[in-house]
Amino acid sequence: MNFLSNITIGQYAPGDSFVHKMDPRFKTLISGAIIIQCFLLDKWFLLSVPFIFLILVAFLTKISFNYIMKGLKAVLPFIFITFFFNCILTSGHPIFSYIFPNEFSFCLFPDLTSPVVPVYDKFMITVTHEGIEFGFFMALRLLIIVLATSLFTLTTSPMEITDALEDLMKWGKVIKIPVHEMAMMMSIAIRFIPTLIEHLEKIVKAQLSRGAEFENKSIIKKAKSFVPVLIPLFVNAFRTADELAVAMEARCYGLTENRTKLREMKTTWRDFASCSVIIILFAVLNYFQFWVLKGI
Amino acid sequence: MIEVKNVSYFYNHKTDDEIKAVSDVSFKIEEGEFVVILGHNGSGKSTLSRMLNALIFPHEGNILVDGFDTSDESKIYDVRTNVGMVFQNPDSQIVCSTVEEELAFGPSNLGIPRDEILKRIDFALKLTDLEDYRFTSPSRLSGGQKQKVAVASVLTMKPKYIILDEPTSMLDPYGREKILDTLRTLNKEEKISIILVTQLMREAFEADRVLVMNKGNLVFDGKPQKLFSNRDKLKKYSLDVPTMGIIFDRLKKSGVKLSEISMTSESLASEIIRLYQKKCRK
Repeated sequence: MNFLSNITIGQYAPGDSFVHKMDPRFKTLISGAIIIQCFLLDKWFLLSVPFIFLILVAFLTKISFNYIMKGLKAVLPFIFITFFFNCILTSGHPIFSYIFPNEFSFCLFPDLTSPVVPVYDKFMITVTHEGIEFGFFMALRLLIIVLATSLFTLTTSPMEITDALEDLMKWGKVIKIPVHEMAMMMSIAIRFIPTLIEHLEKIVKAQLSRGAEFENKSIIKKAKSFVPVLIPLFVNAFRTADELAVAMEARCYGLTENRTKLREMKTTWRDFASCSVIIILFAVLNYFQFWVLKGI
Repeated sequence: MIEVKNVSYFYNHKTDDEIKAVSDVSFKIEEGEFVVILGHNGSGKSTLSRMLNALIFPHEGNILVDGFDTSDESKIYDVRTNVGMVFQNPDSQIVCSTVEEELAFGPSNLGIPRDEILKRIDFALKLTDLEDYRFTSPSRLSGGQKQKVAVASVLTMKPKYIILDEPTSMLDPYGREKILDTLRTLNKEEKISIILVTQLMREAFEADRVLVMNKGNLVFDGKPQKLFSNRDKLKKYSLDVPTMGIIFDRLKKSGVKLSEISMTSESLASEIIRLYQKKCRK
């Protein structure tokens, strides 16, 4: 069993593209802004603008298309399910309908001025014009959220994310939120993922050599068989944490308030440029959403 | 100078099942010395080493590091910056995700300026021969390399003394040799005092001076050669008698006139060759 090869942590893909070189703080803010923005828009054709924008960004990252798709694959089923259920569960003008037991009707361009057909009216399945539109809209929204976050994690290393969050949450210190300690915990957690995986592999091998069975068809049995793996893993993790705490103390951790930062986050022209692009883009989108298409 | 004065330490102090881990130990370690603290499991050597770094405090007696008392809370900063500590398990003492950041961890805790930290990192990487691994994740390194990173990350704090608590016990012989090499360089070239805590007799050969702990007591303090020749004593303290010692003893018993106690196989071999050539010339 090899666990290491199956896990891509944070899916960070190192590189030196425009997006990689951006300030992680700006990347965090921009991806957050994109996600919020796509909840403000309620027309699919408006939503397609940030989607196309993200595709362009994906080209800018110089990460291969396949690699990005690998990250998206896991959420594709959810997107399809969302699309499917919105198609059949939205009231409107039916494109396709099936009424029990054997009545079919199909019309590609239904008369949109005719009265709305409610979904739960009879024992039937209807795919409505509005349903497809709304399903497409929801799918696009999900896709944008996933794409924005995965482009962010693909181009920003976990440590950079930690630094960015620590810096952005600086104000938290005023209301006594231990921002630095939380960031430290996060970075230690990231640092110990490979170590814990190594421990896990060792324990699994040790248990296998004593005749433990992990390849069980029944899910309950399979879950049970992992108990003798998880318990030593937890004990090990606590022991490691204890030793680490002593080692950190020996190196003067916590003795002074002002720690020096080795990694510096620099704001460059890239950040201002991408910020301006985003602001202009959002201004135009919101103008259409709230003024031009108001009430439609 | 580290002065240990009549130090005792108890586990479960002032309870019914009190265990004396270190009892009434006194010694001094000068700057630039290479000292090995040798002892069997449970001899109190680890406890002693932790007291030198103010991680735990002696219950009786006191320890002075360059005149700073380790029991004095306000002096902990001075004690810990002067005395670096490397632990047994390489995996559980590395805090950061890259070697460079790991080396910066200590000095950034002290609030040292960034430029100075970068200089120290260059210096420490060069000394430990890890320059190629600056941006590598520690999880990709071998055990020996990880332990070297641990040594280097203590070096960036510019300590006068480095205590190593069984640093080689989880390493293969190759990794062990590499660590000992590094320690030798640090001691010879940088004049840093090394205090190596170990169970392994052969690591004691490196030292200028050996302290042997047995059941919490300091039972020997002197040159390794002196300890080395006394096989009965070694057995009494549950320490392994080195192979070279046995060979040396047997040669001496069978009448070979070896001049001094040889510590390594190389020096014993060259000694024998010297004697043989002498004999041939005659």
